[in-house]
Order: sequence, then C-alpha cells, then structure tokens
Amino acid sequence: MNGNKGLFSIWLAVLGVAIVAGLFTTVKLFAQGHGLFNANDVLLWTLPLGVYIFLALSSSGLTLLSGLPLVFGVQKYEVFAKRLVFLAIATLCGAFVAIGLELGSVFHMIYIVFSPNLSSPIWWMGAIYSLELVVLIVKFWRMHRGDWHSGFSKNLGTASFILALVAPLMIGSVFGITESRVTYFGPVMSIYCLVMAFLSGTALFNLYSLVVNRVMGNGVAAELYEEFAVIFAYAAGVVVVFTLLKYAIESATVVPEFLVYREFEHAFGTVGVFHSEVLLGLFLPFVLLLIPSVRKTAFGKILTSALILLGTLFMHMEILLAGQSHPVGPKAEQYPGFISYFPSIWEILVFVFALAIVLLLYTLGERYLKLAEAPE
Amino acid sequence: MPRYAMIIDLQRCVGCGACSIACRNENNVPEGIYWSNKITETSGTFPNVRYHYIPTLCNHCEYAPCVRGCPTRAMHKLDNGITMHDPKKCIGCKYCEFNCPYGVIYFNWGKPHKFWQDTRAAIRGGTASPEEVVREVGGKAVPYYNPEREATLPGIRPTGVVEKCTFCDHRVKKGELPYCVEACPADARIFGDISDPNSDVRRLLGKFRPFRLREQLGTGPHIFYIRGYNPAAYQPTKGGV
Amino acid sequence: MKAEKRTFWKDVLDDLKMSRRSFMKRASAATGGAIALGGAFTPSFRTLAEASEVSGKGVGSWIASTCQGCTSWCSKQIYVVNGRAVKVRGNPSSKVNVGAGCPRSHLALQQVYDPDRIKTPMKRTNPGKGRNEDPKFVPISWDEALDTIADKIMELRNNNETHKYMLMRGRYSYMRDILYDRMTKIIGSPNNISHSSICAEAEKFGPYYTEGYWNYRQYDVMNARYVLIWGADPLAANRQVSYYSAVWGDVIGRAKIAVVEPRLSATAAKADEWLPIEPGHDGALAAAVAHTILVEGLWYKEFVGDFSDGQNRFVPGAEVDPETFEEKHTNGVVRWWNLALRDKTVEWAAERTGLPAEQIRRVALEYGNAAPHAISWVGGGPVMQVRGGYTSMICHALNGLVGACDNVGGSLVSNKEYTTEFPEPDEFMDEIAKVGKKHEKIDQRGRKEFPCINEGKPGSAVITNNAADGILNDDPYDIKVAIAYMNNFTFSCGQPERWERALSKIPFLVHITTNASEFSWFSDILLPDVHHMFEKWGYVKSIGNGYRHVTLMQPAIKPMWESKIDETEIPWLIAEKLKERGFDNLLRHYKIYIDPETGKEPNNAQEFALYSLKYATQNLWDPAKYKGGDKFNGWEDLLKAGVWNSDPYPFRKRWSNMKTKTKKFEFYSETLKEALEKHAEKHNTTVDDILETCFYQARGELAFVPHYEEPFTNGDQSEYPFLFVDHKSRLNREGRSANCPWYYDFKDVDPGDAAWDDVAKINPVDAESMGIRTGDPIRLTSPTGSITCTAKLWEGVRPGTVAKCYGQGHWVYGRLASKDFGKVPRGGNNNDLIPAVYDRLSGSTVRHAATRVKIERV
Repeated sequence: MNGNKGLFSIWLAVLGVAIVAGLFTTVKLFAQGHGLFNANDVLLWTLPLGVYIFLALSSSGLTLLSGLPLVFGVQKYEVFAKRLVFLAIATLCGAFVAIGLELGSVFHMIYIVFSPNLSSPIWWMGAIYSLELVVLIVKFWRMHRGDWHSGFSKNLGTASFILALVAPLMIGSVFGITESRVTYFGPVMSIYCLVMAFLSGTALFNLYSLVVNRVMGNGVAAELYEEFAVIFAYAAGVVVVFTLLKYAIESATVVPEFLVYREFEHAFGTVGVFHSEVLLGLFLPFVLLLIPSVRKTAFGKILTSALILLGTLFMHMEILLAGQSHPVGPKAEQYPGFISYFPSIWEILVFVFALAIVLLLYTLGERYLKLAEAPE
Repeated sequence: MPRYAMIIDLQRCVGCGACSIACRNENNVPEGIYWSNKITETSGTFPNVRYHYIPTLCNHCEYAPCVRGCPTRAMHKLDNGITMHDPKKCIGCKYCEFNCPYGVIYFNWGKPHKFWQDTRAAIRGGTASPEEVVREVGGKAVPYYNPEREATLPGIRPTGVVEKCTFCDHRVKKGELPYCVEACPADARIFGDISDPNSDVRRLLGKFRPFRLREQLGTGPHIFYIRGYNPAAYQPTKGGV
Repeated sequence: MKAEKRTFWKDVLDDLKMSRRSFMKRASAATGGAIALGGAFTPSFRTLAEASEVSGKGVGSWIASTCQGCTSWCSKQIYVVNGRAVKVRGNPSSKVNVGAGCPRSHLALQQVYDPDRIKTPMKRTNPGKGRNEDPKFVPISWDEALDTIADKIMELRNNNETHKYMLMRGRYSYMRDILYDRMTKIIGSPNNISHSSICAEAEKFGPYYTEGYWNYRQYDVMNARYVLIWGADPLAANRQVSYYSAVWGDVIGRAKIAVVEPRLSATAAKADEWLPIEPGHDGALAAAVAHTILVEGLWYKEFVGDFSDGQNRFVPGAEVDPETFEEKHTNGVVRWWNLALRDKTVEWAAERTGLPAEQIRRVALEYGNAAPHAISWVGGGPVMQVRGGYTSMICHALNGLVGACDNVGGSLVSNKEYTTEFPEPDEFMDEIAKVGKKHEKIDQRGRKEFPCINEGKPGSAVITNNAADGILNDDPYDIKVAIAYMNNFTFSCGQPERWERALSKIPFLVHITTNASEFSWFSDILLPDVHHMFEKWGYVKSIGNGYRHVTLMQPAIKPMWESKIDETEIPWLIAEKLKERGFDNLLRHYKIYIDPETGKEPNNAQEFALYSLKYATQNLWDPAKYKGGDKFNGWEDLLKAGVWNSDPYPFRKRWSNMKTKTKKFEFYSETLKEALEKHAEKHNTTVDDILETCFYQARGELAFVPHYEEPFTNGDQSEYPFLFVDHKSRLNREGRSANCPWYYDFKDVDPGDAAWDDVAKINPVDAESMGIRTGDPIRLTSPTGSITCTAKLWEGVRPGTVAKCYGQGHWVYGRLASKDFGKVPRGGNNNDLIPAVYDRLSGSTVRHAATRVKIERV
C-alpha cells in the first residue's frame, strides 16, 4: 500500500509537471502566436488538431459504448456505464485543451454563440461537442447521485448517445465538404470518422479497464471483458473493410489530386501500398484479435488495444497531413510542392498537455468518484 | 447595390508583379502574406519554351466556401459582393484557409512586420535600427504605414487571425479603384459592377470568352480572365504524320 | 484596458442585435433558404456604420517627384500623410510614362526608410583598409567632416597637385555639373569620373556612327509592325519600363515581336519569336537579316534609294558596283554589302548563332516586309561586349535599311528640351586650377589602347572601370583625395576586387551615400546622402512615347536623419569651408546661381539647392522665356505638375540632316573613319594597328562599316564549359534595392528566379549531366573570381550557358543585403565573375559574353 502510495505521488508529480509545461506552452502561444508550430499556410493543421480529432472521436466512441447499457438497456454492461461516461467527459476535456491551443484567437470563441453560422460544420462540431460535454456531465451527476433510471436520466443518456453519433459525422464533414480537397473522400469521411470513433473509444476503454484492473485489482467478471474484446474485434473489422475500400478507390482513381497524393512520401512510411500505421495499428491487431489464444490473454488484449489506440491517432494524423501537404493555387509559388512535417516541441507539449489533463481526470475520477458503481 | 467583379486581361498583363507589391503597400500586408499573387509556369522544352503568368487574388466568389465554413461569420459577404473578413470575430481556426480552393487566405502565425521590430543597428550610432526608424517617422509597425486601410479593417491584422484581399473595400467605398487596379502599369485589370449591363466589365465579358479559376467547383469566382498571356503568332501548319 | 473591455462588450452587443435581425430576415425569407446556406449574406452593421465615418478622398496628398530606380527616369507622385511617404505612383501629367508605374518604384519606400541608411557623417577609426578590415566608423558632426575635407583639398592646392583630386559620380541628376564638373574644375582637377561606361555606352556607339546620335533611342512601338529586340528587356529593365508595360498589350496585338536573347526574358515571354542565340553572335544574325533584306529587295527605297535601273544586283556572293545604286538619305549601302554582307547568308548565320536557318529567314523576311515600321531595338546584351561597338552598329543599321530611322513606327531620337546649363566655371579657375586640369585623366582614356571615342572625339568617353588600374598603378599619377557620390564601383564594376585594392590605396576618400556600401567600406569619411526621390531637389530628362519630359525631384518629406543633398548642398558646404581657408572661388561661383524669380543670390546650402534648380529650368516655367512644349505660369505651377513635356516628335526631320559627316545615315561610316584616323594619327600609327591593339578583328575598310566580329570571351572552354549570361531584375533599383524586404519576397517576378534566393539558371540538360538539382548550393567560377549561389533548373536558358540575375551578393549595404554585415554576402555578385575588359572604342565595361564559368556543387 505504501509502495502504491509512493507510485501514486510520483504519478501525480509527473502529471503536474506535464500540466505546468502545458500552461507555459499556453502562455507562450498567446504571446508569440502559432508560428511556434511547424505549421504554415499550406500545412495549416498539425499535431494539436490531430490530437483533438483523436480525443474527441475517442470520447464519442466511449459515449457510444455507454449507450449499450444506458440506451439499449444491456444490463450486464451497467457495471461499465459510469466509468464510460466519466472517461468520455475526461477525454473530451483533453480534446478541448488541444483545440483551444490550436485556435489562433480562442477568446473570440464567444462569437460561436453571438454570431453563429449554421452552414459551418465547424460551428456544428463546436456546438455539439459543447452540448455533449454538458449533457455528459449532467448524466454523470445523475448517475453519481444514484439516479440511473429516471426519465430525465434516461433521456440524458439518449441525448448523449445521439450527440455522440452526430459529432463524428460533423468532424468528418469538416473535411468532407471541402470540395477542393477531394482526397478527403467527401461525405464518406463522416462515416469513416464515426467508425473510427467507435474503434478508438473501444480500444481506449479496453486498455484503460485492463490497466486499472491490474493496478487496482477490482473484480469485474472476466467474461464481460471477453465480450468487449469481441465487440472490439468487430469494430476493428469494420474499419479494416473501410480502409481497404479507401485503398481500392485511391489506387484506381485518376483524379489528379489523388495521383499527386499517391506519389508523396507518407508521413509514417509505407510497406508496399499500405501505410505503416495502418499495417501496425490496424491490420496487425485485427489479425491478432482473430486469434482466440491471443485475444483471450490479458497481454493480448492490452497489446491489441494499445496498438489500435496508437494506430487510430497515427491514421488521423496521416489523413490530416496528406490532404494538406501540397500547396493550393498560387501558394505553390511560395512553398515547395510537398511539405514534410515533424512536430515542433511546442506541438508535442500541446499533445502532452491534453494527455495529462485526460490522465489527471482519469486518476482523480478513479480515486474519488466510484466509477465502478452500478445500480442496485 | 453593385456587385463588384474584376477582369484580368492576360494579354495586357506583363507579369511584373506591381499589383502584388502595391497591394502590400496599400494594405500594410506583412512579409510572407500575399493578398495579390500569381501562378506561373514555364512550359515546353528548349528552345520551344514559354513562360506563363496568371495574376491571382481573392476571387470574391458568389458562393464562397470560406464564408460557408466560417463558424462565426467572421468571413462574410457584403451586399456589394465583396468577401469580407472581420478579425474581431475570427477564432483563428483557419477553416476558411483550408476551404479556399484558390490559396488566397493567409494566417497570421506571428507578430506582423517583424523586420521593423529589430532594435539593433548595423553601425552603432551611425545607422538606425528598424524600430528606431518607425519611431522617428511615425507610422505604425512600418514607416510607410497606410492609415487609410483602417477605415474598414484593422490597419495591421493581429496575430492569430486570417487575412486576405478585400477588393480594397475601403477605397471602393470612397469611389476609388482597388489599388492593384490603379497600380497596374499595363491596365490589365478592369474593375466594376457586374450587375450593370453598361459597365466596362460587362462590355468586356461580352467581347471575349472569359475563364475563371477552378470553375467546376461551382464557387462562382468574380475574377474573370480574358485573352492569353503570350498570344504568339506561328506559321500555319496542318502538322504531319 | 477598461476602454478596450467596453468596446469588446459593445461589439458583442452590436453583434447580438445584428444576429437577431439577420435571423428575422432569414425567417422572413424562408424561400431563400438555399441562399442562406450558401453563406451569410447579411452585411456587417459595423462596416456600414463605419462607412459613413469615412468621407473625402483620403488623408494625404500626392506630391510630384522623380524615380531613378532605373534609367527610365519616370515622373512620379508620392502620397504623403503627416510628413510620411506612404505610396508611390506614376505621375499622370507625364506624356513619357503616361501615368504608368512599375514594380520597382514601390520599393523606393523601403529605400528611403531603410534602417541601414547612415544617419550622420562618420569617420573611419581603423587606419587599416581592406575587405577584411572593419573601418570602425564612428559618428562625427557635419562640421568636423567638412573641415577635414576642406583641409585635404587645401593641402592639394597648397602643394600644386590639385590634379590628384578625383570626383567619382554614380547615380546623378542634371544638377550633377555643380559637383561633378564645376567643383572639380575650380579645385583644379581633370578627374571627374562618371559611371556611364559601366552602363551602356556601347549601346550609344552604333546609333552615333550610323546616324550621329549619342544617346538612348525611343521607339514608336504603337505604330510598328515588327519589333526586333536585341538583348533588351523593356518589360523588366531599362528604359521606359512604365511606358512599354502600359502599351505592350496593344503592341503585341499589332506588331510581331522577336527577342534575341540567350535567356527567356520577361519580354521574350510575351514575344512571337524567341531567338535564344549563342551569346556574342548577334552580329552574325544581324548580318544575315541585312543580307536577306537586300537580296530579297525589301529595303525601304524611299530612305535608302534603289538601283538606277530598278534591278536588284544584291545576289548572294556578288560584288556590286556602287555606281549602279542611287542612294537617298543613306551613305554607302553598296560598300556595306560588298565589305560585310554579301556572303552572310542565313545558313552562314545559323552555324554561328545556334539558331535554325528557317527561323532566321522568317524573322528577316517578316522584318523586311514590315518596313518602314520595323524597329531594330538595340539593348545592352549584344553590345556590352569586347567587340560590341560593331555589333551595336550592325544591329542599329537595320533601322536604316528598313527606313525605320526617325520614321513613324521606328527608332526615334530625343525631342528638344530647353533647360539651361549652369554658369561656366572658367573665370573662377585660377592658375593652379588651370594647370591642374591639364593633366591626363586617371582612367587613361585616349591612350592608344583606349580610343573611347564618344561623339567622334577620341579620348572623350569615360572608361570608368579602368580608373581602378590607373589608381593602382599610379599611372598617370597617384590620387590623394577623392570624393565619390551614389556609386559603388567595388560592387558594380567587373572584377571589383581591383577597386577594393585601388580604394585602399587612396589616402583620403570621401563617400556620399545613403547606405554604407562596399565602396564606403574603404572610405575615410561617409556623408549621409538624401534619397533622390523623396528628399532631393533636382531634375532629369527622359524620352519615350514620342515625347521628352523634364521631371523634377523635390523633397516630399523632411530628409531622414542628417542627410544632405549630394549635388547641391554638399558642394556648397564644402565651398563655404574652402572660403574659410582662404579659397573662395568655388563659393563665389556658386553665388551666381541666382533665383530667377527674385534675383536673390543663395546664402545657404538649402537656398542654393533650390535656386540652382530654378535656374536650370527657368525656360520651362517662366512664361517670358517660353520656347516650346508644356506651358506653365511660373515656378510653383511647374513644381506642382512636377513635369514638363516636350512637343510631339517631328518625324523624318532628320533625314539627310543627321549629325554624321555626310549628314546621311551612314552604312559606310565616314564619321567613324574620321574618328579612328584621328586617334591613329595622335598615336602615329594606323587604324589597323589601333584595332589590333584594341582586340577588334576588322582591318582595312571593314572597320568603317557595321559588321560581325566573333565574340572575345575569357576562359578556356575545356576548363570553363559554360558561357555566363548576366541579366537585370525587374526589382533592381540599380543594385540598390537588395536591402528591401519586398525585393526578396517578390524576386520570383523575374522569370525563372526564386523568392528569397539568388539562383543561377541552368538548362536541365546541362544540370542533369552534372547531377545538379534545383535548390543545390553551387559555386560558379570564372578565371577572375567565384561566387556561391543556388542552382535552378530552367528550360528558359540556352544549354551551354548559365544565366544569373545581377543585384545580390552584397557583403555590406544592409542587414538584408548581406548575410552577415561587413563579412558574408547574401548570394553572389555577378561582377566577381566578370573580368575587367572593355569595348575600347566606346570605353564600355563588358558584362556580356565576357566570360566562361564552371559549375560545382558545394
């Protein structure tokens, strides 16, 4: 116990350092502007936005998962419900940190309220995630107070589920409705984001539960985790099919933008026609999940979840960067034909900051908020 | 209300870039940001080579993707057709820049006009520092600062927001032509009201088959190009097999 | 802070109101939903509110002045707001530049406010002089600076060696003679050395020895049917860039344009024909064009005349009897044919020029068929070469052949203007001065090996770049005191390293300059100069569009720091100091430059600057002295307009009334013959010997007709495989804009060039054979120097050549111009590659087809 306490203090200290570094980054960004990022007028959106997408979608995925007990009434999963909702809140907070530090003038956000543009997917995205955060917090509050089944509480669950369904579609449409950037696959991008959200949310939950199980040793019936592993495998399967479809289209089309896209050196390298992050972060864990002897071990579960979680982050980054790596129009006069990218220390610190916030909230929640609670 | 549009006559254009430099000057645009720009191309192989030049600027699209995507309506259309930006509402999400099919929107990544903030002198006591020049001369951030830009937009846009060509709305409002039009030594830019059947713009659009950039996207650009940059004559030929 | 907050919330409130309104509007326009989705169509109320606040045409005023960023010398207007220069535009009152501007004129704003301009006079505190010696300049007062200068001049006068005083001139206005001529003469020195020959004297050589006109031409492009351009790039550089840019869209619609140049220039990009010639062989192409025109009978008979029986005897190879041809306004067309053209077939030219024979034939025929509206436009490229004088003649002679000379749609000279010379200095030159002035000039002009025959007078043209050798070798003597203004020979002359050594050798050197330049680095005293366009009183003359204008410069803003006017205020102040030391001749001379309006004599430097300008331009603004052109009601009237325009061009008035020996357009140049013979006689030798000494190939009669000479190029082809092609930038302000941020941000307006870089353009075929890619850092090395820059693969360069724009490679001048001020250049200076060689007939410094280079990756 003492040893645990010591580890816990160290853990908090690490998070504290990360958060202090994050606050310093925040001040620095406000003082000097986003030139601190390795971004430019061609490659506009970089790691902080990738982290935002990753965390926001994961949060939606967690909320979707929470829908199994909370919306569809699968009672055996109620034991996960409170934790899922809390994780969704915490992860979304991290997402907000990332996007907050990505925006150039975050204080002008007030105009999201005062000067809304209903034709803007960014507006909808912002509005929905803000609402989602509120709904999730209220829902969590109700659950924490023991109110699981009142009409209000149920409606909150349904609302959060619907919002979590729509939010990834909006993130997808931010890219998808940009007619001039066809490599984002138009409306298909929305569906892609939705399935990716479910996948990364599931991966995150699996990984988290197993780690917490190890650390805290609380006893949830093992078969429930087995079922989750199967859900996880299905989710991965959907994304695998989707990804193969994308590859098929990409390699068959002769639309000029795709031809250029095909030629450029991919951020994380390729093996044959496949991107490394897809091979290692999707196909490999998917294959492992298909092998029962791997899937059934704790190590196998942790490995596959970790791989997929990292894989989704890298896949989002790859897609984000690839669509912006070539200058548009006259910007080709000013910038090279292909922009390569490696994050600056400040972008990494934004990532670390967001992650630290998420992890701190997890830690505090796990310690104080009785996340394993379920209705009697 | 007029709807403003511009014709660029590529035959008259000499590719000198005076439009872009004058634009920098008029709008106090910092280094690295081009409200007015160009697309160049050298085609062919020696000795059959050609150099092409297409001046570019904000297309002030009828259906502007930047306007549609802007979450706070910081990017908006004026009644006269000008696509305008209000930096006060801009949250710096850069989505307009991401959305623009023409690469004409830029983000202020840092403090503008850094060159002029340097406090070091090349020869101590004998030459000035850029910062000292600005102080001595007045102006704002740059010694040749144009205060008239302030009429409709901050004279220099702050860090963290985007900026782009406004068709010199502050000049148009006073009955003056956009400065790139005035500064074009070749009279290659013709500006006017496209809703007026008697305007020069309409007259020329009726005379030539104009083209617009990436027309297939359906954005409805208000920059029209007529004629060719290098209309060279050649000996008539049917080619051969 | 509080106020800021209030406006913030006020904005929010305003916007709230606005969005409520706009929602209502949307609701009421339910059917317009599609439009609503297409974008927020409601205008910002704030914008509209502000609209009513802005009234009138602006807060500043436009003040007329003149731009000398290139030698177009356009009349300009400067927008001044609260004493600050904010914008620059073409002066609509000028008929020469017709209100048009250009890209480089805007950069002037970054020149006048250049932080690296020197603020005060400075003196050197490190006595050691050299490229690697930091002068350790410290600020001093004007008084101390002028005292020191006056002491040094008095020392020369007291020792009877005033000829060891030297004045070097760079960019000038027509106030120049006050400092350049009068002051030098009254002090007593022959050594006023201008920069003219590093610019384009060879370009004037051809027109002078054919039609008796030593100056730049103007071209009636709007009436031309064919424009054949030789190494000129009027859309980018020199001269009347503004005017030609304004009309070029019409010109290409009316005329065929052919551009002869090894690199795809800005003008070539908009031409019908690009003739990427092997550098140095332009004379061969011109010979073939002339040959073809004669053989095909396309010469303009009303100007040249015809065979008396109408039968064309110009048959390839055949000698023609001059008696059979009746010439009208020309001299010696048959002798020209016999001496230089009869065997110069298209095929012969194709072999030398690297151009296809059919292209040469096509150009020749179409050019001839367009007579007389067929311009042959001679630029610096083909003529600023070792044997360029003759190329200048043969290219320009085509204008005679097709009758374009002085004709509608042709090649024109200057219109008349009526400014007055400053008072003569003679009566203020004392004995010391008269003796001093008789010495030979330091640039050695007029020696056997330097004929330098400006306007038929041997030894009359400056040979700027050779002055360095004169100084270095104490030949004819040593220079002890030198003043230089707005020049930078250590950068702008070929083989500038010689200038570094020469200047280091001068015991006392004063530099009047805006920026601490490569020249300043070797100086003892620096004086801060005004910027010509914003801070100076002066005037220049220029031609174009069939007009000549005289355009004024005036101080539109208060001069920056302690700068003073180079050509007027500074000589006056020196004159005052000389008077204090007992030598008042110069000040007495300057005192006679009286204000024509008030009759007052100048009492201080500022008055002198203004009065001398009013004095020189009186005939233009004083109605009582009106002689022609624009009419004004007095000085203020002219000053407000800023420019005087001449009468329109009088076409064909010079036919058979030219300033040549025969008064005709000379294909056989009696004028050149006389000049050469005069020079030979002076040196007791033959014309052939002179030509041999000066590296020309012609012997005998050939020397007196326009003809082709093979290029004379430095460097062995096996060691230095590439011919170096130098060219100018649209943004160069005579090599002085390298410290302007806009220069770099827009450098790619020069076809093939790159922003924020200094590139050598190489044909991909050549580059690939060396494994060089775009962006590779490379070193170019010639027999006389080497530079580093960046490789750029470009199809617009002739294989076997490497083209690079002049302008970068400064190692001082400013924080942007140099990479490390005083130490490391940014990019490379072309002149480091170019040897100090000359077209000795005109005195021109060579910069084209001058050298071969090798390319290495670094």
